[in-house]
Amino acid sequence: MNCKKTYISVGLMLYGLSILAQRVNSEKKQDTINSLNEVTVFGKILAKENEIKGQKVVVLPNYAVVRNATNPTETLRFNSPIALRDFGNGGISTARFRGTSPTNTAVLWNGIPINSAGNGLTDFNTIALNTTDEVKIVSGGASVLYGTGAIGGVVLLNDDLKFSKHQNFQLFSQYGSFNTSSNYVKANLGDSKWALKIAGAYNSSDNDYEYIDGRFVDENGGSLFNENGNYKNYNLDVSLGYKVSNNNKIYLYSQVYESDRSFSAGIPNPSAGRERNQDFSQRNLLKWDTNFGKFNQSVKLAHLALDYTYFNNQFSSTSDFSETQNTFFDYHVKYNLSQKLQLSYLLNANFSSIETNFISRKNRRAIAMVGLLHYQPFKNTATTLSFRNEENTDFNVPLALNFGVEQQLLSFIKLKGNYSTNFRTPTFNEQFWPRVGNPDLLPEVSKQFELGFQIQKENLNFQASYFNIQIDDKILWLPSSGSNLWKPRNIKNTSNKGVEVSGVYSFQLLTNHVIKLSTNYTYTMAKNLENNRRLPFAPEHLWNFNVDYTYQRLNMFFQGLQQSRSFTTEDSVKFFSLDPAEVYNVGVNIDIVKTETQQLTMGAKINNVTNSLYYFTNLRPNPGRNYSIQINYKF
Amino acid sequence: MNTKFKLLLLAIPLLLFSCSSDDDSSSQQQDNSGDVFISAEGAFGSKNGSISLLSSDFETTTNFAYTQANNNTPLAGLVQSVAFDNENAYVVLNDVNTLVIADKNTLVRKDIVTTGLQNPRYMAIVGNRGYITNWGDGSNTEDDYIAILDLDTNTIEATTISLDNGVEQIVARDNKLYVSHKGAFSTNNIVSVVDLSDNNSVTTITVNDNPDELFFSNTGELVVLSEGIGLTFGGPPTFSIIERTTSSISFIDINTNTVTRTLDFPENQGAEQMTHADGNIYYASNGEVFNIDVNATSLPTSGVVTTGPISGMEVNGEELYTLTTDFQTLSTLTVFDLDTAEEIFSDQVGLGATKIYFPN
Repeated sequence: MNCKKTYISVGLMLYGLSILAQRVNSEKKQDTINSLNEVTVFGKILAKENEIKGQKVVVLPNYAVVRNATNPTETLRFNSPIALRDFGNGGISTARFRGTSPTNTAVLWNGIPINSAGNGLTDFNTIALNTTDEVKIVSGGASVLYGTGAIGGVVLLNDDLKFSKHQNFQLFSQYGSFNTSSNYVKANLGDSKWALKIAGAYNSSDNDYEYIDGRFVDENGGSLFNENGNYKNYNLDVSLGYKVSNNNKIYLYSQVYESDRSFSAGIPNPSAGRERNQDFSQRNLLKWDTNFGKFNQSVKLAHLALDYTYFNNQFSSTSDFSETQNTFFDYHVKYNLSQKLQLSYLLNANFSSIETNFISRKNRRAIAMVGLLHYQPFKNTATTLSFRNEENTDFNVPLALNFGVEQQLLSFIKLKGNYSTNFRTPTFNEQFWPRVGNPDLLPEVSKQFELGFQIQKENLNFQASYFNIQIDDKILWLPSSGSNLWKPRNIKNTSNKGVEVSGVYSFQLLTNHVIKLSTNYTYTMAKNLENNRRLPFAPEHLWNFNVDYTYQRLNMFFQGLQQSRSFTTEDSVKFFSLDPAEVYNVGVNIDIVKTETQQLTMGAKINNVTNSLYYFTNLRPNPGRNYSIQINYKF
Repeated sequence: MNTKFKLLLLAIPLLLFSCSSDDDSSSQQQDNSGDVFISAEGAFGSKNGSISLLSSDFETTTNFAYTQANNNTPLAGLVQSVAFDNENAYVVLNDVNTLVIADKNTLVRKDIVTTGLQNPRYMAIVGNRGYITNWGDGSNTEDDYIAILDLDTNTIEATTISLDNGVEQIVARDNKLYVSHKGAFSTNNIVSVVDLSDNNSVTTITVNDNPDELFFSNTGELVVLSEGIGLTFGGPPTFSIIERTTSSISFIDINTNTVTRTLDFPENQGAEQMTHADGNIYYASNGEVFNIDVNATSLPTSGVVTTGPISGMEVNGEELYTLTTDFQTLSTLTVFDLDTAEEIFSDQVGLGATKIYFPN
């Protein structure tokens, strides 16, 4: 059976699952957290957040950061529709939605964009995912709300500050192969006046695993190992909310993150690895929400600092540094005109700067005005229409537009549609890096639409969307004048079309035997419209799944990830490609203590149970079969 | 219904595992002697350099020949250059600080050298030793050196030869090494001479900026191409050089280590490729290949073959081999007849192909 057939079968299976699922009578109410729930209340307008309609949204399930705790890349790889590419386990990790580039993925921390002003990316191995309360994954363009880079999709990292009586504590610790440990503590407290979140995490690994690619050996014929790949990182989050009155709330969010990583050199010569990188970031946000009459008003003031120190050779005294800073001012006012109509206005100012040992200090100012209209003409129809006009000191930013519609068809089926135009402004590195920077770059611009549906029942949540993204003036790093010196330039019109599917389904097999299935699948056809060739690093098929079996205090799971052949150039030649990746993990968890007020769970897991060799970056193999044990205590 | 589900669940692993078989081409032990050997750097940072072979009758082009000959194992680095002795091909992988030693005729790997190299560039062979130029850290001007490879043990010797910044190509004659200093990430304007018979003593010869290609002509002179330093560049897509310091061809008397003749290119013009055959020097400039006699005292104004921009060039008899290099996709090898200036062969070769060798 070849891959194509496999994927067709899988597609049919998913389809079958959705059909079957509709027929299944809902079993008695189960305590299964339907992690994909994105509940929209129809009948009254109430956009608490600045949401736009018609997009596919997935909330990362609560169990994901426990089940895949080693690093954020692993967490998202097995539990979300995002394609992650890490430069070796624990190394720099970039995220793509729907075959677009990593700079087309916007990441926001409590509503504040955190992509680096230097390279336009978030390194997904340097985010504090396991202490984040909620991770929301919005596929598709949303520059209207989130500005530059929100073309492929958006990752929202949110901390919970609730004004209700609650005291939740969590202690988590995992230890595994290659001396890898992940640990965090989290406390969410609150009463009717105050809300507090305090969390801290520490992760580290020797990360010196064997390369199980037997084609490559060292000078003496022995196995190669991931030398110089060790890492450690920690973060500390403190957030505080105070409710002055029902109509007057103040929040303060704060996070410090520090990481120290060595970068392995990979095959064929891991012994040559000398690189080391230290990241430091600090984020502070002050938010003030007020309501008066039909108005809701929110003011945000934020400051982000993101620094790194890079050692090309960690044993030499020379290093490179980069310091980027962002200051945000955000004013948002909503006016509820009627039950059917809500108007919003946002003023959004971002002051960013960079200074590195290669780039003298540069500043940029972007001020955006956004108009947002929520309109619900009929009981079962919700629409949003929004515009963003940005004045940027360095670029002519085109008007961003978004139109979304959602139509409830039956009580459990919703149709969704969204059309948007989005942009990404060039980054400081792309403009100013010595020898390669190109100061003449223009913003890349996308036009896109998606059409989908969502089935929501008590034990089922299934979404599928067709997407069609066209990007003009795509910025790509390309070789210049017949030399191997790569420079960014606006060149291409690209087209990304495909289907993205997410589903969660749970059912009882026998009394108390609960099975839960969840999956994400994306089919992507990404092309360079100039020559009609396939774009590199956009594999056709990307699929992950989790199968859970729970019986009383016992839980077992099987999870997997498949990525089809990923070409690394536009040639579509096998030599320039990563072989299809397949990896499966199995685990077991037992609730040692389970009462109303506390839960103590111990677990063990075998990662890459088939010991399969798989790559996400050329010649940087991921670990073979490895093991971990963990303890998770909530009280 | 539950039964159906169970069946579906059972089907999952079947579906999953069915995707693993791959038609890896098996090792092919074939004799490549007589073939033209084209090395391709691959894309910078992607470790996907390769070797292409062209049979001497132009009948077959074999891309990714090393990978084919070694059980689907790629070279796994940026192929900077290749050196040959009677038995072996020494493939210098720049970005991974590695030297791969393969049988010259079958390309089957014999050995790998992973210690003692840092940013290796080119290798010359004298007796049973290989001399490999190394930038060290490309932005450090103080740490360039020649690593010495013992060809009997395939290990790097403890002794190195320190040289001035930006070592590049290396040739040997009469137990002396001649190294051009193109300047690595900065610039330089010398040729170093290392006397292996005199305790590796170093003398330097000043030429024009950024010397790259060098060879001995049939008259015994050392001929050096200085490319000049690009000062201002045009816009995308080519970012070509608009203004540069003087580019020239220098002729050096190796008995006195002095420059006896310099042919300067006109202001802001220069050459990027140079080779020689049968008393003729060929160089590429601005999309044309020019031909001068080794005793020429001036540069011609018109070329012998129009090639377009090229990044690799060699002459074999009456045939001019050129590489139209692409670092994003496959490159193109074109062969011209020097008598008629007509194209006689063209085919696709590896991504980032920059060097042509005739090892036999």
